Amino acid sequence: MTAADAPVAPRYLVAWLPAFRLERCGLAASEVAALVDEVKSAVRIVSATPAALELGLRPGVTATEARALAPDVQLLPVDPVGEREDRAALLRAAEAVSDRVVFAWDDALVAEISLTTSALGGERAVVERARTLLASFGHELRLAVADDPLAALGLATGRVGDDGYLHPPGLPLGDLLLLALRPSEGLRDAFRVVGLRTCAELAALSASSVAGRYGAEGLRLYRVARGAHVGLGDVEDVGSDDEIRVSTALAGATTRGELLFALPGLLALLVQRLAAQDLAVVRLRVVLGLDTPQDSAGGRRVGSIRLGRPTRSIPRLERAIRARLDTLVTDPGSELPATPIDELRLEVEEAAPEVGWQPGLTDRAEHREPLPDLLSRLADQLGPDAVFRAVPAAVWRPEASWRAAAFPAPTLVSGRRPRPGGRPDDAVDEQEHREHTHPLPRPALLLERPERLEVVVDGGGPARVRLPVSTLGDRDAPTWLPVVRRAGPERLYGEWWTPTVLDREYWVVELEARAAWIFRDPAGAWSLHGWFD
Amino acid sequence: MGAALELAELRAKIRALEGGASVRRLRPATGIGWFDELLGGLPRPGIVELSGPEGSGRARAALLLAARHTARGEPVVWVDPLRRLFPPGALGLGVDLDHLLVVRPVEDGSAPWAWATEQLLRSGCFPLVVLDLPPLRGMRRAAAHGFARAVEHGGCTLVAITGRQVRELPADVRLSTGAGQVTVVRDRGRDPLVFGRTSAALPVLPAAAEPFPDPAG
Repeated sequence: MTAADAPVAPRYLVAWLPAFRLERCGLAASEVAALVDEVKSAVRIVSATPAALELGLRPGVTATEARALAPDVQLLPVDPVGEREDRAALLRAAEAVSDRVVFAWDDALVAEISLTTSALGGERAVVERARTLLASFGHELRLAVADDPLAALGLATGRVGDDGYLHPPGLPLGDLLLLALRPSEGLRDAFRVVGLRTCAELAALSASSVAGRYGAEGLRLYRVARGAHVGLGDVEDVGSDDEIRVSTALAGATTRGELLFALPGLLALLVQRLAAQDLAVVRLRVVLGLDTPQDSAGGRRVGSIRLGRPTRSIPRLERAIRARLDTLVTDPGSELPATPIDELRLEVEEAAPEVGWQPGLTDRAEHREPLPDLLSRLADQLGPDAVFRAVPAAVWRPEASWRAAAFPAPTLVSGRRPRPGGRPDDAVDEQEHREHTHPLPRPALLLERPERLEVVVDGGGPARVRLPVSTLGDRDAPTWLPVVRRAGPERLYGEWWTPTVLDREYWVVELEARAAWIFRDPAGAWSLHGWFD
Repeated sequence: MGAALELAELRAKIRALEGGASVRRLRPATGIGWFDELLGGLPRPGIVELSGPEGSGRARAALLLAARHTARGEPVVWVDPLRRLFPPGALGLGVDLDHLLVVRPVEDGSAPWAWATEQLLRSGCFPLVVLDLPPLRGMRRAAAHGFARAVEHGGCTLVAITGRQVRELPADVRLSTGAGQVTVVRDRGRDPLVFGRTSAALPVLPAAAEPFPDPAG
C-alpha cells in the first residue's frame, strides 16, 4: 500500500446553529415568537425564541394554548423549502473548509476535515475559517472538533463557554453531560432512573452491560462517550451472498458535499464486505436515487467505474467515485440533478481476487499514477471511445484508413513491422510495400469533413485557390491564392459496390508557404481535406 | 551569457520565496537540427507553444518531436479536441503509432480537453504531451496555470499547437511558424541573443516527403 492509499483517521467539525430556524426568519431572541407546524393533527410550536420559552411556549404546545399563554405571541409557519435552500447555501459556504459536508441535524452542520486540515494550516485555522464563513450569514454558532460527529455536536452544545473546542483524538468525552449527545426520550428517562449524568459515568460501565440495558442506541452513545469513531450510522448492506451492494439514505441531498460526506462510511462497509470474500473491485456502479421517481431517467442516475487494477483501497475508490460523480450531473453548470437525492448506493459489478500490487525496482516513482489507472480514469470521464491508439487499416478512403485500438499495444504478440528505410528484399514485404506506399505524402491534419473550396484549373491541375471561410482567421477575407507548387494527381478509387463510391483525384498544393491536401470529385467539385501542418 | 545566468538565478530566488519546490529544468537535445540549434533542446519540464496558421508546419514540428520520443520507445499523447490528427500522416513523419496515445474528448461545454490534458501531464506517464488547442476567445487563466503546475509535477513537456499566441498560457518557449520559417518569439530559459539565431527555415513539406516535381528536371 502506498502512502496515498493509506486511510486517514476522520476528524469532524460541527457547527451548531442553535437558532437557525428562527434567525433565518429574522426573529430576535428578545421577541416573543415561535415557529409552528402541523404535528399530531394540531398546529404546534416546533421552535421558539428565548423570550417565548420564558413564557412557557415550549415545542409541542399547540397554537391555541400559545395564544392563551401569550396573546401577543408572533406565530410563523415553518417554511421547509426556504429552510432547505438556506441550508444548501450554508453547505456551499462550508465547502471552503471541506468538500465532505452535510447538515446531519436540523441545527448542526458537520464537515469531515481530515483531508484539508494540513492544507489550511491546522484544525484551529480550519475552525476559525469556518466561523468566519458561517458567521457571515448572520447566525449565532458554536464550533467543536472531535473524532465522531455526535461527539463533536455534544462538545459544541455541552461545553458552555468553550467555543471552538478541539477534542484530542482518541480521548473519552469525560464529564460532558449525556444530554448533550441527544439521547431519545426513553433512553434519557432510563439514564435518569439510575442516576447516569455524564459520559464518564456511562463509559465506566461494561459494553455488555450497556448493550443489555440500553440496546443499540445506548451502545452507540457508550462508544462515543469512550472516544470511539462511530459515524452517523445510516449505512446499510443491501446485497446478498453473491452480490455486494451498500447503500445510505441521504434525505434529499442537494449539494455535492453531502454525497462526499456519505462516501467514506459507505466505502468502509463495501471494503469490509470485499475483505470478507478476499476480493477487490474491478467495476463499480454508482447509483443516485432521486426524490422524484417519475423523472425521465426512472428516478435514478447510474454511472459505472472501471478501476485500472483490482483494488479495495478506500482512498483509491473514493478518488474514482468523485470523478464519476461529476459526470452524473444532468445539467451543465449545476452541481447536482435539480431533484434532491434520497439514496447513494454502490454496487460491485465485477470483482477479482485481491492479489495486491508490488512496485518493481524499475517501475516509475511512487507519486506517479500507474498508466492503467490513468487510462481507465480518462475512459470513465471522457467515454471509452475517446482514448485510443491508431492502427493503420487497409482501406483507401482516407477517413477510414485507420482504426482505433486499445492503448498500449500488446507487447507479447505483435504483428510484422515494416522494415525501416530502404527497399524491402522480402517478397511479402515488397508486395506490402507496393500496396501501402502512397505516391503522395499524407497530411498531418485531416478535416473531420471535407470542405468545399473554389479552384481555378490551369494545365490540368489547380492554379489558384480560394479557401473556405471556416479555415480563415477572424481578420482574413477570402481571397484567391496562387498555387506556388503542386503535385498530383493521385487517384483514389474503390468501394464501387457501395452507394458512396470513392472516386477522388488528390493534389498537394503549396499556397503562400502553406501546404494543403485537396481533391476533385467526378463532378468536378473541389474540396479541402487536410493540411500539411 | 552573464545576463541570462543572472536572470535564471533571480527566477530561482523568486520561486524559492514563493515556496515552490525547486524544479530542475533540463533541455535534452531532440535530434532535430533546427530545433536544437534554436533552443538547445526541449525544455523539460516545460511548455512550448507552437503558433501559426494552419498548414504552416506546427503539427509537423510536434510530430517530429513525437517521432523522436516514440523511436526510443517512450509513449507520447496527442490531445485532439478538434479531432483532426491524421494517423497515416503521423506515420509518414516517423511516429510509431504503437506508442502514440490519442485522446479525443467530446466537447460538452466544460472543456474536457483541459481536464484531460492536466491529468495526463500530472501523471508523469508521458514525457511529451501535445495539445492541439481549439481556438479560444480567452483561455481560462486557472486552466493555463494548472498546466504549468501539472507539467512540473509530472516532469514532462507540453507542446501546445495554437492558431495565434495565447497570452494566458505560461509557455517557457513560444515559437511562431509561417512564411516557411519558424521563429523564436520568447524563450524563458535561454537568451536568443546568446545563440545568435532566432529563426530557422521550415519547409512546407519535409524533404523526404517532397512530392513536387523538380523544376530543373
